[in-house]
Amino acid sequence: MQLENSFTVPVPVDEAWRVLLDIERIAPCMPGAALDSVDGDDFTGRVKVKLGPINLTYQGKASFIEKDEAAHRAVIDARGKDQRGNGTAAATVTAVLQAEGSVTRVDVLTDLNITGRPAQFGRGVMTDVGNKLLGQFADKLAAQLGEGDAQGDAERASAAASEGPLQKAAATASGAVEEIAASAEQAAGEGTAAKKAAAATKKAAAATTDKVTASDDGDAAKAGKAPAKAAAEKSAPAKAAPAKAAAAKAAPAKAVPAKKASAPASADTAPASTDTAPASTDSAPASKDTAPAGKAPSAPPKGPTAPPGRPATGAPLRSVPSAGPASAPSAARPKPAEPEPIDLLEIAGGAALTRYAAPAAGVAVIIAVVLLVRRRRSRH
Amino acid sequence: MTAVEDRAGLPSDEPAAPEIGKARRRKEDARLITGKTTWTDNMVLPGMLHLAVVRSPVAHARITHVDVSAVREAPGVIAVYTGQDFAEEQGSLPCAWPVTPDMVNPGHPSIAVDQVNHVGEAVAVIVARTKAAAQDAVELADVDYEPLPVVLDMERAVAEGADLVHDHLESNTSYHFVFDAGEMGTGSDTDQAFADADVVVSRRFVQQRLIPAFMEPRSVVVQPQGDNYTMWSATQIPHILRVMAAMVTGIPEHKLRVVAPDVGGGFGGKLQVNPEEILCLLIARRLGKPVKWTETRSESLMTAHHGRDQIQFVDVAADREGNVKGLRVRLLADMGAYLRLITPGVPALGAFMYPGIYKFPAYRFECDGVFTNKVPTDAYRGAGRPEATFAIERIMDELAVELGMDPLELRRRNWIDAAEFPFTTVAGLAYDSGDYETATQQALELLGYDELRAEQQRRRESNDPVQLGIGFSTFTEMCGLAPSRVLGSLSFGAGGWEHAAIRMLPTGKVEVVTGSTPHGQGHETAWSQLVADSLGVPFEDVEVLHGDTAISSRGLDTYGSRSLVVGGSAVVKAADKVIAKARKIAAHLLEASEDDLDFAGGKFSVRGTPGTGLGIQEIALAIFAAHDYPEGIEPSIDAEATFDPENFSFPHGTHLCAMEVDTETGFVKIRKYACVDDVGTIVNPLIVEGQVHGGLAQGIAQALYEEAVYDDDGNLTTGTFVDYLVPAASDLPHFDTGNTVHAAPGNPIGAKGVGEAGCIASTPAVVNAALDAVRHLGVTDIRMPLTPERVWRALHDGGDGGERATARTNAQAADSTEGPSMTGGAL
Amino acid sequence: MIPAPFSYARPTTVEEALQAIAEGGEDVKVLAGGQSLIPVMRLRLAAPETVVDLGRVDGLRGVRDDGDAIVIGAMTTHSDVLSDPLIAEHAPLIAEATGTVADRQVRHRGTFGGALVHADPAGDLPAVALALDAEFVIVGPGGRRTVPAAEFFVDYLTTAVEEGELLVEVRVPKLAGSWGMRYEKFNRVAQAWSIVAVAAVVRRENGRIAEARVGLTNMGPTPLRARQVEEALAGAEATAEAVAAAAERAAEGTEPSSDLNAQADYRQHLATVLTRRAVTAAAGL
Repeated sequence: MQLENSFTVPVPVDEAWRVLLDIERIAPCMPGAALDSVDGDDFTGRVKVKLGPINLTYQGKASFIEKDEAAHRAVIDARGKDQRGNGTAAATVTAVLQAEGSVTRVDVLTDLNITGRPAQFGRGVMTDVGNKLLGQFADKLAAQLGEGDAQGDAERASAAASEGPLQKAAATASGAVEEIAASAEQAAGEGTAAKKAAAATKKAAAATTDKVTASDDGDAAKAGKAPAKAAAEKSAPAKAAPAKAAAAKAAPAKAVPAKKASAPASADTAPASTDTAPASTDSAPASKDTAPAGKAPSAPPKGPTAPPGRPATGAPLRSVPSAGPASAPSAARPKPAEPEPIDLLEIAGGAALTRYAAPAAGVAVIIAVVLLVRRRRSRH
Repeated sequence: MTAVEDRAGLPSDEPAAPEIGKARRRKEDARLITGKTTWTDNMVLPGMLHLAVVRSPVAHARITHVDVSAVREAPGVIAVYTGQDFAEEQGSLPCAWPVTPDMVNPGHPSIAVDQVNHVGEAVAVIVARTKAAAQDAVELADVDYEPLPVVLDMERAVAEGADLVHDHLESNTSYHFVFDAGEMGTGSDTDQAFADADVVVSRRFVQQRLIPAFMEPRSVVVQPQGDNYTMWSATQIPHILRVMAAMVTGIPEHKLRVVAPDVGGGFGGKLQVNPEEILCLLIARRLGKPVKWTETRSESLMTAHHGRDQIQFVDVAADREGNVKGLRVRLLADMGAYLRLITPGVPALGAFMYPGIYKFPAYRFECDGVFTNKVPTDAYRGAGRPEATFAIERIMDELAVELGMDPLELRRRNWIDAAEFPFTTVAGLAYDSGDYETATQQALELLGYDELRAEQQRRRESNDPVQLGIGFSTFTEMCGLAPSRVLGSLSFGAGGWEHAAIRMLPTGKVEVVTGSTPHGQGHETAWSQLVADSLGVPFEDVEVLHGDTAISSRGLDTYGSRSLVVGGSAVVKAADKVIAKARKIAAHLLEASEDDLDFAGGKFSVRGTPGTGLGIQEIALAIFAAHDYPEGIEPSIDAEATFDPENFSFPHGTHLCAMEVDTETGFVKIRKYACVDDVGTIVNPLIVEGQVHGGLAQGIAQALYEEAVYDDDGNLTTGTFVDYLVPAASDLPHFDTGNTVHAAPGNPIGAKGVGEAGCIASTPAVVNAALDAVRHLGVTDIRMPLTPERVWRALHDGGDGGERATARTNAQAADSTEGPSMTGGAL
Repeated sequence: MIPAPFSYARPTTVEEALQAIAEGGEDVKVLAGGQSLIPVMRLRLAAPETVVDLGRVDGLRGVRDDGDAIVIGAMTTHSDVLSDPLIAEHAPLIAEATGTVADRQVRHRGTFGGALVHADPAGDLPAVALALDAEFVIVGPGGRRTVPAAEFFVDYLTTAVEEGELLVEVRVPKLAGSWGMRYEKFNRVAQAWSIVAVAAVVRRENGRIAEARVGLTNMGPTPLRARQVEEALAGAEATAEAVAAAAERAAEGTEPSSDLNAQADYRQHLATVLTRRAVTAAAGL
C-alpha cells in the first residue's frame, strides 16, 4: 500500500536536507521504533505495534538506498520480521525536499508491504496501522526537520562522546566471545533505556538533572536506576512529562534498567532475567549472532537479513543464551552502555513536544508507573 | 417440498414399497451430525507425533537462509525438516491431466527447497510430541527470503516481458488448449459464422477465485508398520491418493493402505494429493513413528487449492431473428503457482459445455493456462461447467438485450426440443434426454413469474428505490464422470469406471463395498436403497463399506456427480450377479429349473407354484454352510462388478431468480428462487433436494458473497471467515424446488447426477436477475460477487463495479495526535 | 490454531480481578466473553502473558434500575441484554443493536462490556452507547471513575480504560419525554460486522423534532456522533424532507477507512442513506 504525506517546514531546504540524512535523528520519528545500531547508512532496530489485543514487533534493518543531493531526494529501505513469525514488513520511504522560498516543502511517499497473518484480513487492520504509523512518522519528521541544524548540532555535541564508544563497543562485540558480546549489547540497550527515562525525567522535573547528567557521563547502571525511579516519583505531575514519553513509554517499562530500578534490588545486582524481560532478550541474541563475526559480513541488504557486523535485530529471538545477560560481568556494562546515541525523547522534542505532550505524556507515564508497580509485585 | 417420509418402521411382512423413490432419512447422519464417528483428527495412535508446517509469508521469493536451530531446541520438538532435507526424495506432486502434449508443468515439491511461489507454501515441517508444542515451535523458525516480483494478474502475466513465476520457464503460460468444432467436424467454420452474422455480442466475464471451504479441515495420519504404511486422510479420493502417493514416494502400492474415514465435505477441495499427505509419509518413514497433521482453518483457506479464477472472453453471433449462429470463447485460466492433480483440466472440462442447451452451428474454444503467484486452482463443485454455464447464460441475456428480445423467447428459439434427443451438440457431446420446455414451464409457475413481472413493472414506473429483476438460467451439465475412453481421448491420467462388491453374510445381512468414497453425499443410504430393491432385502439389512483401500480394493472415488450414476450402477450390476449366482443355488435347492424361477421381493419362487420359494437371505446361509450346492460352481453368491459408462449423463433444469436491488445502497436481496431440475431417476428425493439446496447455496455464494482476494503483494486478504463470506442459512432465501424426470438411458438406474446441479445453474440466474433489475438504469454488467459497493458503483459510475478495494488508496494521514495504540520500542 | 502459552486467572470479584491484572505481568488481557480476544490469540496475533477471565465475577452481570439511569453490568451477555425488561423499557435501542451482533452463539458468550472495551469501530454497541450518552464506570488501582461516552472511545480498538483497569458497568440515562429509536445496520451477511451502521435517538414534540442524537458505526477509528445532522434536526419539522436534508450531512467531517467491504466514499454515501432511514424510523415518520 502506498501512503503519502506532505508538509512544510520553516527551514531552508539545505538545512532540512542535512537533517534528513541524519539517520539518528530521522529513524526514531517512526512511532514505536527503537534503534539498535547505526553503521553509516545502515541501521537496525525494531518497531513495536500495538493495536487493541494485537501485538506485533518487527525487528529488522534499514538503510539509505538513495541520497540525491541535487534533487534533495532520499530513499530509505526498511525491512523487518515479526518476532512471533507473523510475517514481514517492508517499507520504502521516499522523501523529496523542495525549496519554497525560505521554507521547505517535504513530500514523503511510503510504500508499505506487510505479509503474513496481519495482512490476511479484509478489514484492513494493517492499513489502519500503516496509516497511523506513517502519519505520526510524518508529523515527527516535520518536527525534526523543522528544528533544522540547531537542535541537531546541539544534540550531536552532547552525543559526541557517545559515538566513539559506540563504534568501539560494536567492534568489541563483533570480535569478542559470545557472552561478552551479549552482555555488551545488553548493556547498550540498558543505556538507551536509561537515557530515555532520564530524558523524560529531565523534562518532568528539574530536580533530577544531576542524575541525568550521570547518564551522559556514561554510567549506565547508575543512570538506569536513577531516572527510572525519578519517573516513578514523577507520576503524579504527569502533565509535565514531555511528549515523547509516549514513544518511550514501553521503554522504561520493558527495558531492563527501568525494571531494575523500580525493583527493590539495585540495578547493579538484579539480574536481567530472560523470562520476564523481552527487551533484554531482544538485544542479547542479536549480539550473539554477530559475535561469531563475519558470518555474513558483507551480505547485501537483501531481505530482512541480519546486517553484517552489527547487533542483528533480524536474528532469531529465541537463540538467546540463558547465560547471556544474566551472567555477564557487571563490569562490562557501563562502557558500551553509554554510546547508544539515540534519545527518542530528545529528538522528538522541540516542535513535536508542544503538539503531543499533553495527550500522550500523561498516558505514557501512568502506564509506565503501572507497569513498574506491577513488575515489582510480580517479582515478589 | 421438504416433507420427510420415513418408513423405516414398517412391518416387514407387508409387501415393501420400492425403496427407490423413498425420501429416506440418511442412515449415516446420526453419527456424522453428533460427532459419533472417528474423523481423521480424532485418531490417536500410541507414540503418535504431531506436525506443524512453517509457511511462507511471501508470495514469491528465493529462500536464502533457513535457520531451524532454535526450533530443534524447543520443548517437545522431535525433529524439524526443511526442503533441503527432502529435496532428493520428495519428487513432485502429481498432475494427472496433461491437457495438451506440450503442456508445461514446472513440478511441485511438497516442501519448497529454494524458492516459494505462493503465500502459504511449506518451507519447514516441525515434528513434536504434542500439537501445541509443534505450533509453538513454528514461531522459532527463521527463514530469510529474497523477494522476487509477484505475478498476480493473468492479463499482465501473459503480456510481453512479464515477470515470470518460474524463471526457468519461457513464459507464464502452461498450455494453450483449443477445441474447434469446425476442425473436429462437429460444426461449421466459426470465423465464417461470425462474418455472416447480423449481430455479434462480445463480453468479458470474470470468474472470481473461490475457496471450497469444506467443513472438516484436512487431516492426515500416517502409521508405519515395518515397511507397510497406513494413511488416514480426510480425502475424497483414497484410491487415487494411494496410487499417486505410491508413485511419488516410491512406497510400493501394495505396502500402502489409504483410508478415508468419514469425511466432512470436500466440494472438490479434497480431490487432491496434498503436500502434507506426502510429507506425513516421508516423515513417518524417516522416524518410524506415526504422525498426524491437521490444518487450521487459516491454513485451509490459504493453502488448500482454490477454484474458478478465469477471465472469459465470450462472443456470440446471431441473426436478427434471434437464431444463434456461432460461439467463440477464449479463456485465461489461473493455474496458480503450480499444476496440481487436475488443475489444467478444469477449464478443459468446461470446454464442451459452453454451447449449453442451444443449437449452435459453429463453436470455437481456446484456453490459456496461466501461472501466477497464488495457491493453485483445481476442482471446485462443478469444475469448469459452472464457468461455462455462467458464460452462455449471461451472454444469452446480453444477446436478448441487443436484439430487443425477451430472454426466455431467445432461449426457446435456440434450445434443443424434447423430440430431438438424443442430440449431438456442436461440441460433439451426445445429450441423452430431457425436456427444457416442461421444466421451464414448471419453474415459471413455481416462481409466480407473471405476478413478479407485473410488480417489476410497477416498481419501474414508480421509480421505487428498490427495483426488481428476474433472471434465467436454463442449463445443462455433463455428469457421471466418466466414460474411460473419453477421458483417455482427453489425456486424463485415469479412467472413469467404478467398482462395487456385494458380500452376502450368513445371517442374510448384506455388505456393499463401493469404490465411490462419500464425504457427505449419503452413499450409505442411497446404496442401501438400491440394494434393498435389487435383492429384495430390508433397507436396514444393508451395510455400505467404503473409503478403505484394504476393504474397497478398487475404486475411483467421488467427484463430478458420478457416484450414483457410475458407482450406483456398479452396485446394481453387482446385485444382478448375486441374483444370478443365487438363482443356481435356488434352482438346486428347490429342485426346479433355473428358467422356471421367478425372483421378486427377495425370493425365488417356482413359477405356477405359489407359496413355495426360497429367500435370497436363506440362500446366503445355505451357501455359507455349503452342505448342499450344485456341482461345478463355487460355494459363494458374492459378486463384484465394474461399471464403465458409455456416455456422460446430462441433467438439466431451469432456474429462476427474482432479485431486489436497493438502488440507494446497492444491497441485493433474493426475493424468490425457483428451480426445476431433471436429474433422471430419483433414488432418494430428500438427498436430491439436499444436494440441490447445498448447490444453490454455493452457486448463489459465488454470485453474491464469496471471493478469494489477494492484495498487490500476493497476500490472501480473505484469510478468515470474517472476510471470506460463506453465507449461512439466514442469508439465503427459501428455495422452491421441483423436478421433471427423464431417465438417463446410459445407466441401469436412469440417474443423471445431482451433486453439482444447483451450483452450476444458480450463479448466472442470480446475476441475470440483478442486472434485469437495474438494466433500465444503464447497468450492463456487475462483477461477481455482487457486493453492495459494486452494485452501487455500477449504478453510479457505470462499468461492472470494479475491483474490490484491498487497501486505502490515499492516506493523507493528517492525524496530529499521538496514537495511544502505538507504544514505544524497548531497548 | 492453538494460542501461545499463557497464564490464566479466574477471579470471582472485581478486587480479585484487579489484583490478577496487576500481578499478571507484562501483557495482561481481560477475557470478557472472548469473542474477539480468543480468535486473535488463536491466530497468535496476541500472545498475552496472562488472561484474566471475568466469567466468574458474578457481580458484573445483570441490569439494575438506578433511579435516573439503568446500569448494565459489564459482563452481562448479549443474550441477557436482549431479554432484559429494563433495557426493553428504557433503552430499546441497545436491544435492537445487540440483536444484530454476530450470531446466536456469539451472543450467548459475548458481553456488553467486552464489546464496548474492545471498541472495534465496526462493532455495533459503541455508537449506540454514544447516542444514548452512556457513562462508563471504570475501576482500577487508583479507585473508581466515570467516563462519559464522548471521552470513552479514544482510537481504533482503544478506550479510556487504561492498563490495569476494568470497565465494571455502564450507566444509561433514562430518557424523559417521547423518544423513538432505531439502529440501521448495513452488512453483507447476517453474522458479519457492520460496514456502516447508524444509531438514531429522536425526541418529538408538537410535530417537530425537539432533539436528535445520531451515532455512526465504522465511520472512523472510533464511533462518532453526527453532530451536523443533530444540529440540523434540532427543532426541525418532523417531515421526510427535513430529515432527508439533515441526513445529507451525516458524513461531514468523517474519515472512514477503506477496506475489502467498502471504500471510504461508499461508506460516506451509506452513512447519509442509513442516517435518513434511521432518523425517519426513530421519528416515527
